Amino acid sequence: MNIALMQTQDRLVKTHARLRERLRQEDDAQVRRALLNELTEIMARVQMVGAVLFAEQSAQLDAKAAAVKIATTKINKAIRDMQSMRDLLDAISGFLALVDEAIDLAKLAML
Amino acid sequence: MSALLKTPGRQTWWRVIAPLLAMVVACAVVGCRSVDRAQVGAWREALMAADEQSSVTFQATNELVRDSRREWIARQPELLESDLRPGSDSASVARWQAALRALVAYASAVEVLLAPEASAGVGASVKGLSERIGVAANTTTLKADGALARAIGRLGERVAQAAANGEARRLMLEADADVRGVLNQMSDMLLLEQDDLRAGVVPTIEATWNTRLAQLEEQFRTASEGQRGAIIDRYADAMARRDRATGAVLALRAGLLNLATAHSAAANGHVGDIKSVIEQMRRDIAEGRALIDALRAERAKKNAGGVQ
Repeated sequence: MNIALMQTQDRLVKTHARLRERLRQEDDAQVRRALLNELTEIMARVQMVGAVLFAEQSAQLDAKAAAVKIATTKINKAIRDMQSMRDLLDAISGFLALVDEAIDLAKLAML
Repeated sequence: MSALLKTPGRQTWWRVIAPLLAMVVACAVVGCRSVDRAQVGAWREALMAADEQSSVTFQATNELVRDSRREWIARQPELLESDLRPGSDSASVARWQAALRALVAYASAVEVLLAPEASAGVGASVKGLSERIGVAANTTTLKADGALARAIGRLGERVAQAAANGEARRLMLEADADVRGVLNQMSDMLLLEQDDLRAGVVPTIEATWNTRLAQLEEQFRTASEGQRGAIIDRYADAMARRDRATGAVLALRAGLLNLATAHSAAANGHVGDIKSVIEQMRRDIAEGRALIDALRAERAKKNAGGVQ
């Protein structure tokens, strides 16, 4: 987290709120016009800092999502392990079937 | 029973069934906490809804920021690309979507692991093996009684199910901190509140709409009584739209935090009310779309009246 950037945005927003309040109390039209321009300037900076903050946080999000991808890999391995267990059981059945056939053949030969 | 076990063929049969039975009985006695597959499915659906809701929310925010900059840019000496930089740029939004899709892929994998078809396959293999052992051991019980072999197969299926569920639960608990980490980071990107500090997308929206309100307040001061009625309407409309815009982002944030809680609950075998989270998300998406339409209509009106 870029705390400095967050604090900058927070300070800008608070300044914006104070200026808006000041604008309400001002009677001089010229000063009001200047204050309104300042409000727009501050708003533009709140937006710019917000955009940079969002981009920076999204990079951190990328790193955190990588951990979830590792978890998914582990689950996929568990799925493959289950399939391997099934394959092993089928292989043992197949092997026993082969042994049974061999025993039957041996029995026939003995007759 | 003891006579039955003394028969060599039946001992073989018992050796097949005993470990399976032991696992099922242990589960019944101890009380195995299991992960509900439907719950994981609903969680995945909610993530997909959050993905859609995010797209709508970021689009609405970007259009708002773009519109609000027109007056500010008009006062600048030159027009620069950076002046029209959106609140959430496409690369960052792509990362956001990739994170949500990583979570969807994770949920899908858990669902596959918990799928009854996988354990049914193991059950069929256990049935096949028990029949073959019956033949090899010359056990008439297993050879003649297909129902018994089928029962052993079903038992194998239940054991496989329990094993898959236990594994799913273990892996979900292991991943819980990472899943929550992603969802909490997303929530902080929308709005981070720490003591007196507030930062993120929400303060940007508030400052943008509050500037619009201040401009209308100024127009009201200098307007004639006849002009004031229209300004009051625009002011009320701007207030309502500010609240709807911030409400949409806060709703998305609440949805993401609910998903973090729901993951922990599902991993611990607790059933939560995910369906209501999804329904709320659907309503928020519709609300977000209405906001975008309103912004576009206003822009079209402004453009028709001449570029400011």
